[in-house]
Amino acid sequence: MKNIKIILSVLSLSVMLSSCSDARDISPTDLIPEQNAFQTIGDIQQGLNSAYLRYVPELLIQTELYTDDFRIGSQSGGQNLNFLRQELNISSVLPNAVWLGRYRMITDINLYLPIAESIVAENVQEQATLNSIIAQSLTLRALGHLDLMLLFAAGNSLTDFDIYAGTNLAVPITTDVDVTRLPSRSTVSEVAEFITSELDRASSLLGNPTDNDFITQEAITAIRARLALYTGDYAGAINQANVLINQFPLANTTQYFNMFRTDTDETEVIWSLIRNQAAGGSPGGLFFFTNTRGPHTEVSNEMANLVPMGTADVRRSVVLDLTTSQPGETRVGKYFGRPGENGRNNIKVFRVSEQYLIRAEAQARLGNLVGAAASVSALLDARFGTPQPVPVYNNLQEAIVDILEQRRIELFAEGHRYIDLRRTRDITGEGITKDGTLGIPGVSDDCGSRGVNCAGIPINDQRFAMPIPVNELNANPDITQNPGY
Amino acid sequence: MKLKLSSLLTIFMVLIVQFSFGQEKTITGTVTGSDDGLPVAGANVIVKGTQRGKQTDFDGNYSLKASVGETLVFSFLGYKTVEIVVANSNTVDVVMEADTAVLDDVLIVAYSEVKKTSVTAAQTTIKAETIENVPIPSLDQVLQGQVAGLNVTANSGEPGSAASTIIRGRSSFNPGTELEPLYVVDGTPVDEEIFNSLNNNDIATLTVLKDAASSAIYGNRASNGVIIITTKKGTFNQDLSISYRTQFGISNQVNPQINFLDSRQLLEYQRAIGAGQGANLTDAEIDAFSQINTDWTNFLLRTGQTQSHEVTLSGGGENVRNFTSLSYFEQGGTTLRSNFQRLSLRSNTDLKGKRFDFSSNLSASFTRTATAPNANSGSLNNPFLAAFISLPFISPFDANGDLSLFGLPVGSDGQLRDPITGATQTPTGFLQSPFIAQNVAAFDTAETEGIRFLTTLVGTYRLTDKISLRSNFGLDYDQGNGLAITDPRGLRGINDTPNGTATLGRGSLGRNTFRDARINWVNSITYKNTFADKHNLEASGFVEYVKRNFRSDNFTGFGLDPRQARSVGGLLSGQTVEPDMTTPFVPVIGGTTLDTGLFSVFALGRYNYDNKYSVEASIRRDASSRFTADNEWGTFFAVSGRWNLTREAWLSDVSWLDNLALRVGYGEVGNQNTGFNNAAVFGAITSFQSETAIGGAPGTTRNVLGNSDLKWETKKSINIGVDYSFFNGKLSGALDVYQEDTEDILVGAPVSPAATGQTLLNSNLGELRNEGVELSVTYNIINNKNVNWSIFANGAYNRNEVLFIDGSDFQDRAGIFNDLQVGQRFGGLFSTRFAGVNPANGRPLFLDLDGNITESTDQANRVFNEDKPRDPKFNGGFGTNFSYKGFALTSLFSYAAEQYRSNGTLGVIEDPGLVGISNQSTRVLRRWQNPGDITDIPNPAFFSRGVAAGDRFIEDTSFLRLRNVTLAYTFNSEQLKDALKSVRIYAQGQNIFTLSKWKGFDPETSGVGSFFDFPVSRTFTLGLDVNF
Repeated sequence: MKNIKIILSVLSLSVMLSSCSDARDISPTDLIPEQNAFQTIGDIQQGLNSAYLRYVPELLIQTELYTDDFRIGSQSGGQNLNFLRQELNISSVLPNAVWLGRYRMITDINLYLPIAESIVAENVQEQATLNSIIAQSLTLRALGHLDLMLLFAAGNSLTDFDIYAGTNLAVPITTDVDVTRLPSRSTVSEVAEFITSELDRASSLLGNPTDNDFITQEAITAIRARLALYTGDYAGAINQANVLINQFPLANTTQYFNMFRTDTDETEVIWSLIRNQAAGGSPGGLFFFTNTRGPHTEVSNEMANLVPMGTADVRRSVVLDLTTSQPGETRVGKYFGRPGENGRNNIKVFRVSEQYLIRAEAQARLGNLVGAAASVSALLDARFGTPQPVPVYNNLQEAIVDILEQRRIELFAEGHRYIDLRRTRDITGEGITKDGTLGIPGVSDDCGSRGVNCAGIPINDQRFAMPIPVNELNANPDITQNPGY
Repeated sequence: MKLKLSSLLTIFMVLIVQFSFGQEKTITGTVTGSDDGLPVAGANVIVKGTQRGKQTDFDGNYSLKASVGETLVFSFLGYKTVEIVVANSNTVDVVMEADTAVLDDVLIVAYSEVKKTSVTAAQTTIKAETIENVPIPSLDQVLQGQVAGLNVTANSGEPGSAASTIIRGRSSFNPGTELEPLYVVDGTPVDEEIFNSLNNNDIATLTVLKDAASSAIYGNRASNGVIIITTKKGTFNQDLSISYRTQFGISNQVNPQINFLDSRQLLEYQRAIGAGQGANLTDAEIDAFSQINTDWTNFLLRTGQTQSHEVTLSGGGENVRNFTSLSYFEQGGTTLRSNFQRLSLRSNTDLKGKRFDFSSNLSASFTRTATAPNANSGSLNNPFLAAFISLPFISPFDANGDLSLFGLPVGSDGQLRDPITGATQTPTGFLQSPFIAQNVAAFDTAETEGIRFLTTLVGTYRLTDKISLRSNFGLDYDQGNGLAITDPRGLRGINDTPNGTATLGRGSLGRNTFRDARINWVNSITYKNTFADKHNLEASGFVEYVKRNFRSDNFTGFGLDPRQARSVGGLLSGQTVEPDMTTPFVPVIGGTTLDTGLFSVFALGRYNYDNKYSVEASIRRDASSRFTADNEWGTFFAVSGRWNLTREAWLSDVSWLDNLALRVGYGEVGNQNTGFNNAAVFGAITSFQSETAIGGAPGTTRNVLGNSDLKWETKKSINIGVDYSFFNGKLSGALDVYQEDTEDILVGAPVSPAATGQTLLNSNLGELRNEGVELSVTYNIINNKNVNWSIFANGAYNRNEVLFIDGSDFQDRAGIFNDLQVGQRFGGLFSTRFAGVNPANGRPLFLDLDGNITESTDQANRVFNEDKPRDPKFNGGFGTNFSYKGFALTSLFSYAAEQYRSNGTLGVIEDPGLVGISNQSTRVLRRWQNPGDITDIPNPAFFSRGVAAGDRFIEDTSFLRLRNVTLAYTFNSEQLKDALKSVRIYAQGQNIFTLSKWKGFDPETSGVGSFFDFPVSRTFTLGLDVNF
């Protein structure tokens, strides 16, 4: 009896010892270990799908909240107040979010791209699929770098307004994932060259897809046009813009309204980034509560006055939500939302109308003021639905000021205003100003109450460039901060 | 003659002895205490050198079989052991002398038990009496103020919510629950979430192991300390005794130290600053609109009710004893919908055999928690938010004079209207907040049903009288079934769920089910021997297996049939298509599967010489599933010793000194608990996960970049302590000092986002030091037959210091009390410093780094403020126990000094930017208005919230609180003419008053900031205990 019990005890001990590996070696159920993640072309396609998900133009749209386009909404509970108060420092949410978000997408691509490059396709069709995935990945990675450069590149001093000069510091170029790397900032010309060479390779691999929900040859061209204009390659900008202008007509007024209100017209859309129920995302939520449409942020009176009541400009009905705005309100209309989906529209990353304005600005900067006026005129005619007087520019400044206003109206809430104001200061001679005389004081003014002062951002203020955010500074002593921060 | 007689007697005795030897008879008797003459219940009576033994019953009576010449040993904790040789008499009454010098108290410690006089480490034991009958359903909350070095704060006043418990300061940089101690109930490790399922009255003892010397044997899980809980047992050889306890009471809100503007004040304030409804009103209009002046707390907060019933059965025979309890507890929260119910049962059985003993502790509970809508959040559903911000000039009643649940008056166009401006309002917009909170509480559901089984089976087999084998198997099964309903008839259902436009169905129903099963199996062998009566040796070896399996699933469906509003069957299909072709009814699903495991071998040795010197050592090897094969094993150990000075000859003459003992211990313990989620558990490997990507297509994205070097955090702790007792036990207590260094602390070491796409990589880099002193004192002022009066106090001082972060001197982490700076306290405030208001222009002023006044809110001016930590520098408790005959009065005060928290609530109700949607504190009346005004409230035009406010809303949350006071009267069996054994009636109050500078309901909640949180309530109860 005694022996049996000893045997039993020894037995139970040995059972425990044998089960010890069961307690120590546990693999995740809800996660995919690295080595299993990307094995097939289908897996790589999933990696690309996720990279698209992490391309978030909303972050660019939010930069506009720092400008003169918005004011506190009637239903504000304090949303966006730090933007409207133009508080921008290394700890601010947005620079941290843009920096991290774009590099997250870039490094996510870097995690699967080498595997994609090493996969041997079994047939031509597979090879084409693989090439297309690689091309789209390269394009997204290039675009990520471009967005970052547009926000973070800065001159050597606060009075150096030529922010995209080739020797200025832009952002680090990242083509791998390395936890030990402490990258320094590449120059604007280095980044521009990188983007160009990546786009060249992408273009050669992409083939000719037609689905404008994803990267196409035309989207690549649109990226090139933006890059060219901002980095001073005006002839190149005109060339790229012309390619697209020749390919895409401008929407007429009905088409224009439907393009934004119901997402049912894509006449002039080059790349439409899907926002739907399955993947979520409601750009309108940047401005109003999507459950009630109550606006926490509204269009500034100054902006609304650019598309005044009675105008034939169809853009009035897109900039403003004329459907649900209550008296005194100027709700944002651009992301009204498809029927049944408050605030949810696809984001038009590139439209051909931008190309008209790119061409106009490049022409003006090259001294072709008449050509610039013609480019603007073409756009105005389409937006009003009837021929409009052709603008007359007597000098570069007049042209730029007018083009800037057209960009403000045409590209409202599409992520341009902050970048436009920062890169044209040398010509306009102006910072960001707010007008406290519009609207009802304390209720619907653009500034002057509720902690939003009217000081604006002076022309030589550091806030004209995003600060290298604290999340990079914490890790990286080799990064150079922008002047003034 | 005298000599002769004694000789005769001796002869006589010898004869009798010879005659009676071997003849067993039944001995009965009563055991009383010499100090008070009262019966000693539960004293052990054993026949020396045998297994025979009994315990005295409640009246101190015992009965057992013994033979003449055998020796009866009477022992009971706190009394000197008495040995009496059985003579002719069948009755042996014993008066036991109180033993304050040598308390032969046996304490439950890690994996074993030890005599109190041999305890080598820093630990504190609490007895059942201090826990019983406190009407707080979560045991951990009851501990506040009771143990030196234990910082207990309620996370929320929601009935049944767990507390946050930190022993001897934060030992790691991780926030939240990872700092909770390890809890062990009857040998089975559990977590703090179990406490709302346990009946506090079932607890027999609770021991807090504070230093590494005592806890190291729990290895990797012990770095935050260990709390060991035992539950009550039956008594061998005792008739079944039955008792019934009941309690009734109410809870209400503590008075907030904030005053709100009334309607007139608010409208005038709005007019003055040109914002909100009052902006353009005339005096006459303000007169008219101020006729309505609603105090919304009357509608949103309420008095909660508490009741409990409990039946206990206890008893035992020769070889078996059992304790069984069945209880029901219910407590209503102090706001709408909040309610907690618990049904629990326990059955503890012990079987004694010749060589084999077996115990089973079985407990099961069913709880139902209905939670207040979105407490502790900025949701308009939150009644505490609504109580603060709702505008006083809005009427709570509709046109018929009934309480309105749907809100503001409706204009002729069917739109809700601002009562003053007439502006249309959305049905779930800000102005509707008081109605939303009431409506959600009335229509919608958020409740969780919990089922928890905690079972421990223990078998002990005595191989010889020196060697025993033991197997301890524990299973902790926790199941939760959550139900969340947005009723289609409620405001949220009508307007918001599933979205603003769905026409075919409204509302939603979600279920969230989890089960968390934890298996724990310890096998051990113990050798125990005493050599030459003085050398006591104990050595044990252990093997432990721990596995945790967590599973959860949840879904939310949409479009709920109001007639079937609590049923999954009432939901619409996800494929239902709206007329506008959208599909808003697609259910949302989710779930988690997570397993962790641990395998350990360890050993424990104890040596005691003549009750004078004790030495204890332990070593443990742990392997964790969380780390890669290279790092999975960790080794932890402890050594400690004790010297009972008063056992030394040279001190034995000091009459006033009863007991003085010195304890010294050093130990190294580990911490692997860096969170229970996939990212933390599998942080050592780079992993990916599938997701719904662009447009709904399948996607794959990284979960986290792994760090294969991840390993244990190690805490090295040294403790020196003194146990003392003076003046015949009048003054006693303990004093401990400690220093604890945690190394290899897991920190998110910053990595370049530009290089990695993430900001942090978890790495074992940090070092943190905690130092402190703890003192506990009990003074027995009067101690006689009729009157007992004692006072007690405990206090702890803790300071910690960051020694190393990740190579840099500073780490900016989210949250003002969370930043790290080498040389500074972890949990200290890091902020710009608000320095009042510029009398010239009303702008808020701040101090720059050099302490100069500036108007800049530049974050570069943030400094660490050593004097404003989130955790108290000092905390503890004190109180008194007084009894006179049947009367007893007990009280417990708890206090915490020098602790700070961010008052986010105050930030909102003093924000002029929100004046149109939120009522304001009366402090705004003293705002800066004219040049020259000296005030601390800035000109509303220059107000800033958030980081730009600096430390303006950081407030001192030091408090002194009357935690518990109880007045009781006990009728003894004499008074009851033996109809009942005893009856006790009592009245009890919790949190009767609180002294604090905090502006809000409750200074106590555990977070770094308060944002409309659910405050701890004040509770009054009447109770009755009957022993049959």
